Amino acid sequence: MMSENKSNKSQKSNSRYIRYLLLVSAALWVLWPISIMVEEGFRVDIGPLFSGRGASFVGEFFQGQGGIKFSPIEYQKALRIEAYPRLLVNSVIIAVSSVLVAILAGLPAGFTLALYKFRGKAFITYALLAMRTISPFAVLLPFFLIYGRLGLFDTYGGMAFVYLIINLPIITMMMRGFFKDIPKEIFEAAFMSGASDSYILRKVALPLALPGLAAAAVFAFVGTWNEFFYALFLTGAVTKTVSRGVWSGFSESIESFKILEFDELNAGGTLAIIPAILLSLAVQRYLARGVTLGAAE
Amino acid sequence: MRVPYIFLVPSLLIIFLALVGPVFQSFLLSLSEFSLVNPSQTPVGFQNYIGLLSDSIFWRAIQVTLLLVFGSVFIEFIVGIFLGLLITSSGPKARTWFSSIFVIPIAVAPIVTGVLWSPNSFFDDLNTLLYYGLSLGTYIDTSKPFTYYSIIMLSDAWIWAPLFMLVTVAVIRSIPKEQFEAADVMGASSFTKFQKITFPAILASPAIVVTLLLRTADAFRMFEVPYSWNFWLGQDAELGAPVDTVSVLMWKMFSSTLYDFPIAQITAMAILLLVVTLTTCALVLRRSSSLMD
Repeated sequence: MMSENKSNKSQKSNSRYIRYLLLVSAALWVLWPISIMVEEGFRVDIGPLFSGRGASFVGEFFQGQGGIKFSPIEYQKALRIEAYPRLLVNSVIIAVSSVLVAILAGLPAGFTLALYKFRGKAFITYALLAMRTISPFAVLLPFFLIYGRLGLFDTYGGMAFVYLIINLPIITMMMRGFFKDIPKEIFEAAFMSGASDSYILRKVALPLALPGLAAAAVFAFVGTWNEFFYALFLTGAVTKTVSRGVWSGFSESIESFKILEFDELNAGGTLAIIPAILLSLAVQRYLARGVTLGAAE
Repeated sequence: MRVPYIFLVPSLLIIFLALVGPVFQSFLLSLSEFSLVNPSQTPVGFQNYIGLLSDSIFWRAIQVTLLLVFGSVFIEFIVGIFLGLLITSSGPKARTWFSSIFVIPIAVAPIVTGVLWSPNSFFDDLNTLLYYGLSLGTYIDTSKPFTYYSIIMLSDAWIWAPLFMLVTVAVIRSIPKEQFEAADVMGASSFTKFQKITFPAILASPAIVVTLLLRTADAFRMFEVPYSWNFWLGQDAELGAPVDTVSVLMWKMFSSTLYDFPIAQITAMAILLLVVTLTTCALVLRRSSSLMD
């Protein structure tokens, strides 16, 4: 009896060790590539450790030329000398203004979708779903042609409008979810008292869903911050965003990736993902709702 | 109750200006002969589509896209469910810490993911270590098709497996406790409980099905990672290169002066992709238990 108990216990602790081993290796799988980028940004490379054996090329690819000494030079360069801060400011301007417009339009729509049944509800939901999922190329060329004609190409307003394609579905559908989370009785009581819809939205629903609104706004902001495709085609020297900049170089005129400045690319990439990661961790409870627009609940 | 239709007007306006209008114009463009070099629009019917379907480069891009779509979605589905099970079976403290770590990739810009998993970055130190550090005399050759296709799938799974993890965790939490209690009374082992309760619940949940559908639709427009691999492999100038997905192919035709900006053909490709998107979204709307209630 005693020995059986003991072996049971050791089996339990064994399975606990295996679980921790799996958790730690999964964490390593997530963090390893990011840590390499951070270290390459610091010009750290383990190659020179083995330089006696001629390690600079393995396979067909050029390997980093750094040393094992940390050098913050690329980060300093990114933040001081090059046009990097400008890219950050551009991204913030575009993302914030686009998210604000999306909130103005999406908040009442999310409220209506959450509380009412009406004809056309399926159409709006479907359109928002399609807007979220559409291949950018299906709308890009008309945008390209029209922006060229209206002079909206490479302007903050034009970019903020394009990013409504990302932000409107996120804000509307996430807010719909947050309004749905509010107990029905509260709304019933409010409607019984004869208050108007806009009063209920402003004074009843919004205060209760305010944390949700913050989460939706943050999620939409990160989505716009990370967006590369529209930025690649529709921004230029004026409105170039950070996610385009980390790829195509920080200076204004350079269009293609330069392999010799790989360290710079990594430093820029590191700086670009820090705010995105911090903001996303702050709203991690709602990440699934944000990505699937609440369809997977 | 009267529906406040006025609340829908701004959103509808944006939907029409940013989605319906441009898509409609894309469709019109795809039915005509049009390029930036020759901007006079002459209608040619479905000729662009017929031309595409008989173009071997386009078929090649479709094959690559399908391979990457199903490969990545399959990997992230399996890894995500595994991570979800791992997280739910851990203590509360480990759960908080590790799930915070696991969701980090969702926040990383896809283009940065292309850099993270590049031969010069991820495989630089790894290969130095394998080749020189451990003196194995072997390395991961990222110029081999099997290797780079796998890496592209793995990097997509790196971003999106956490999404399946989150959904799996939510599904497991929603299983009624009584089921497990009843199983305990009957003396079921933890494996039996997993096999008979947890696993069927995960696979049958609409949330998982909807996530699979949405991820599939998203993967069809996969752009950033294959785009960056075009540079890593030095194939950014050739049409129909091994890692050209349909989106990358469209980008190449659009951005290179070599092809006279064939806007009509590009929009035709985009419309074909759109059919996939719209079909998948219709399935999502139908299968989701939460969108229309």
